[in-house]
Amino acid sequence: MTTLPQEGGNRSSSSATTALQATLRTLSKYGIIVAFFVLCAVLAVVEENFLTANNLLNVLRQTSINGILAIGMTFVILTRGIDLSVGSVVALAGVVSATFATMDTRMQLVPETMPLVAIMLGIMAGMLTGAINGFLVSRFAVPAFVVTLGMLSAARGGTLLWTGGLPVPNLDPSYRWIGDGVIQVGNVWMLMAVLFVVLGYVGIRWLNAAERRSNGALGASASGTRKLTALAVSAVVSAALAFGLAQALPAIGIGQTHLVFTESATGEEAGAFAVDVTDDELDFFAEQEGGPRRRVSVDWAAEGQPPAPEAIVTAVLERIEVVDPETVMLDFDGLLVPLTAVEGLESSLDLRLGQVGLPVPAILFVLIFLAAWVVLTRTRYGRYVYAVGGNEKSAKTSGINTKLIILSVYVISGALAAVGGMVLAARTGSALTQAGVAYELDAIAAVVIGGTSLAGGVGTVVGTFFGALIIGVMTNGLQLLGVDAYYQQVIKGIIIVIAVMLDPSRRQRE
Amino acid sequence: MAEDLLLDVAGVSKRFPGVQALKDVHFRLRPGSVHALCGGNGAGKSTFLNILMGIYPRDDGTIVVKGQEVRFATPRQAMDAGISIIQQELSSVLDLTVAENIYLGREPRQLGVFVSFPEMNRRAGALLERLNFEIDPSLKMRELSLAERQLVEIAKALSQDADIIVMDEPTSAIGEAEVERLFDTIRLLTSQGKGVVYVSHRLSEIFQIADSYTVFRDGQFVGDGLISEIDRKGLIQMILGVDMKDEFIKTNTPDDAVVLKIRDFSRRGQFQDISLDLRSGEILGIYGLMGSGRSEFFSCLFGIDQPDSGTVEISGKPVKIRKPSDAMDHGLALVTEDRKETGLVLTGSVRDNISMASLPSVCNFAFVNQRKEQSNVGRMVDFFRVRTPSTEQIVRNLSGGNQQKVVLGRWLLTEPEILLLDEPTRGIDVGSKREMYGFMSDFAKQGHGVIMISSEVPEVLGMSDRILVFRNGRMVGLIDRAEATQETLVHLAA
Repeated sequence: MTTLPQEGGNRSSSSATTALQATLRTLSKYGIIVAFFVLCAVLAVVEENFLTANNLLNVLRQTSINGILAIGMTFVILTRGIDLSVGSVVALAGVVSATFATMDTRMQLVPETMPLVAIMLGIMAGMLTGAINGFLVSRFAVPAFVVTLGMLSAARGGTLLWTGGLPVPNLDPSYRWIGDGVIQVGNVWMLMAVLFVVLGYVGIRWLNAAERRSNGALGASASGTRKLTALAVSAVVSAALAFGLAQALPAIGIGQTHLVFTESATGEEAGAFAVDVTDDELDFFAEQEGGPRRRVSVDWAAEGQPPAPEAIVTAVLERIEVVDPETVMLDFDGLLVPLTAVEGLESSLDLRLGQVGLPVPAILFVLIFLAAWVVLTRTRYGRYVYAVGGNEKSAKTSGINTKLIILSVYVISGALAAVGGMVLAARTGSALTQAGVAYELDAIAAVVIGGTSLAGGVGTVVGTFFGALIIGVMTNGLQLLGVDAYYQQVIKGIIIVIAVMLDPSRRQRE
Repeated sequence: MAEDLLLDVAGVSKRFPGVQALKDVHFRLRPGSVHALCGGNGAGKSTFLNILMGIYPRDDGTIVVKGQEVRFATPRQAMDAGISIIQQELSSVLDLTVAENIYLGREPRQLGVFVSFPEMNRRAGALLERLNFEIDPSLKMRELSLAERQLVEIAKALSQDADIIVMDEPTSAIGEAEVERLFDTIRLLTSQGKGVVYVSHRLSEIFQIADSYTVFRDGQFVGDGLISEIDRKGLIQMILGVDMKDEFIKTNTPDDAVVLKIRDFSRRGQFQDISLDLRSGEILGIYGLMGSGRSEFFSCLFGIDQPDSGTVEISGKPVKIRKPSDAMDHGLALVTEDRKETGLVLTGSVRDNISMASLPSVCNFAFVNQRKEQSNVGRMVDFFRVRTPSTEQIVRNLSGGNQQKVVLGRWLLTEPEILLLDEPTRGIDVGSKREMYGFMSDFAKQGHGVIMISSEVPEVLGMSDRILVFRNGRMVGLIDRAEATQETLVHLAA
């Protein structure tokens, strides 16, 4: 193990190689992220419709449910288990909650809709199935594969029993919001703030790691001045990026203009417009803010440039029945413009450039991902999950309640499967008893592509996040390229296996 | 000259990215000889064996087997040339029978395609009988104990009728009685003119069975010679490369205060009526054969299993220990016998493993205070001088001695009063062993107590203040340091 003394002249070149090696190591550690962006870049080049607002939002919507399931699955697989029941729990939680959120009187369990209660009950149904799985696995040492295979069948049966085999249609609009709502997540300033936080954090982490490498000290951290410099640099970079993006996004077609317009104070009775708008979302906070509001999305992505003001007005008028145009206002972030004053539209529209709206399921997915990341990397519980998966006997000897940890990961998986199930029902508008069939396979694939080892103890939720995105983008890309649906499945299967074969983090372990 | 050697290795080198693993090493094996290959962890023994068996290609040098220069590309070629190896890690297929494992890939056939099971069982039975291993060849491997599985691996290597047999830590998993049978077998083989390359960290075995030695250190050849011309101390000195005063470090002396009092501890089928007093400042040795109930006793004491009866008092107060966290609350710490099986989370980092048992002490509510954790871990890495590139290193990649230090670091962070050590020096090199002894002495000197289980008689004699002997789950003797001899221990335990 002795290293031979280096000649003086070699020093700089050897430190350069070390830096290169370190970079390569980092890259292979984050290979999944690189792979994701490469995949996106390739699709953007070969398929012009890939990089459009509608399509990207679609991918996000489609990925979210699988992603939420996969995050729960990550916890289970980290403990060396598997949860095959998530697809059935999707359906079970969907119908259980839907029976409290449907406006269809024949399917209602209670005479009125209670969206929040419905969501709570759905999650509880998922947690209950998870608790049964976890109890059997941890207490009686039945293999997780067998227990959850049983639950796959039992929960599907329970779903059919709950509704008598019928779908639960006509869900309450505010329940449906969790499936098809859109939230304005901000403008160019917020984008800048988010970028700053992310870049600053990564920068400081990187500095600390570099410091550790260079002086070999354990747990060393970079000096205050260097940190400040890093923060300043990331501030400049994020500002440039944010404004650059804001300029570039409309040009490449990412961006959606939302015109929020309200009834003027002198207008009609509340509720006058609240009918017959089918493909738009009811504002979730309408009731708190006084007065029903409608949000109309005018998507101009396909045209490549903002539509003419006349076209916007036409689109607006098409979607609603305007009792009296004089009473309708267009609301641009509080700037109210009368519908009739269409000449003012164009300049007002500029105010909205760079504004980003995200589907609610995608936001749920990201929030759940962040929470799971914090839990797995920053909490004692997370450490115990890894320890139990890495070596249960060692964990037990170290005073960890291993049975409780194992039980808990199945509860988490069940709860997240339930969230996925409710998002799916909300998106579809009705809860179907055949929802979620074979969803467990995509969830497992996302976890495995993300580098988590089926042998337990190794893996990250970051990997799973990108694993789910890769599956989503890949499916979407194949659809856009017009690949035959039967071939799509074959290709998807092949790509999953190859992705895992080539995963450098997996090879390092062996 | 080369003609009468079984194996003549000269000038072999091997470089891995960033590491010169072997540099110009020599090794000569005569027919009828048991040749010990010695060296600490990282000395290059494993690399050497891997090159010999055709697993790694060599960069440089020659290997001559029975007068023919060879360059093996696969282990199969090495076997065909008459070299077989008994692996350190068990590699048996658990759901096949003993006979199937022995003849895996070489099954006797009928009509060219069908495996002749009666013939295979008969041959395996004859082989096992010849070796004096009492194992039924038709049993599934899964039904055998760890020691018996290791014996089957030995039988498998011997069944290949090789002229050169490499034994890499063959005794690490088997009991003393089986070791004797293995040695009988080795003597039988050498009397037939075969050669054995014997790799072991247990020096007493080397002096018992080997006739010559070769020492590697840091990938280089240090020396070779006849065992009859070197003593234990001299060999250790060669392995370590530093002048060594004593093999054991013992500086503690017990006083009268009893820190742990155990009365009538029993668990059916494992151990009966164990009573002992551990005094402050004392190292209490437990000696006994494998399967004598020693490890099971520790398991119950630490709350992993429950005893059927018995009482425990710690510092004069009766305590109930139902689970490991109870034991930890009362200041106990357990270093288990098998690092890889029950000790470490091999997939985890040095940091994960060291902080695992003491996480609650560095947590604010549910969150780990990473600064505090890192400083604790760093303290342990420095204290035990763990050789690791960083605390993020995956523990699987550390050597045995460093892995054991990681386990000790984990437990020292829980601030224990009483340390239960089960075979603390198994499979670690001589240098790390000495560090371990130094730590045990220092720990006891602070008024704490240590109970140490060991199968190595010199270690028990060298470190213990009193020695408790186990036989078939019962205490058969409690001997003072001054009166204990190798003979009394072995006699009592057998």
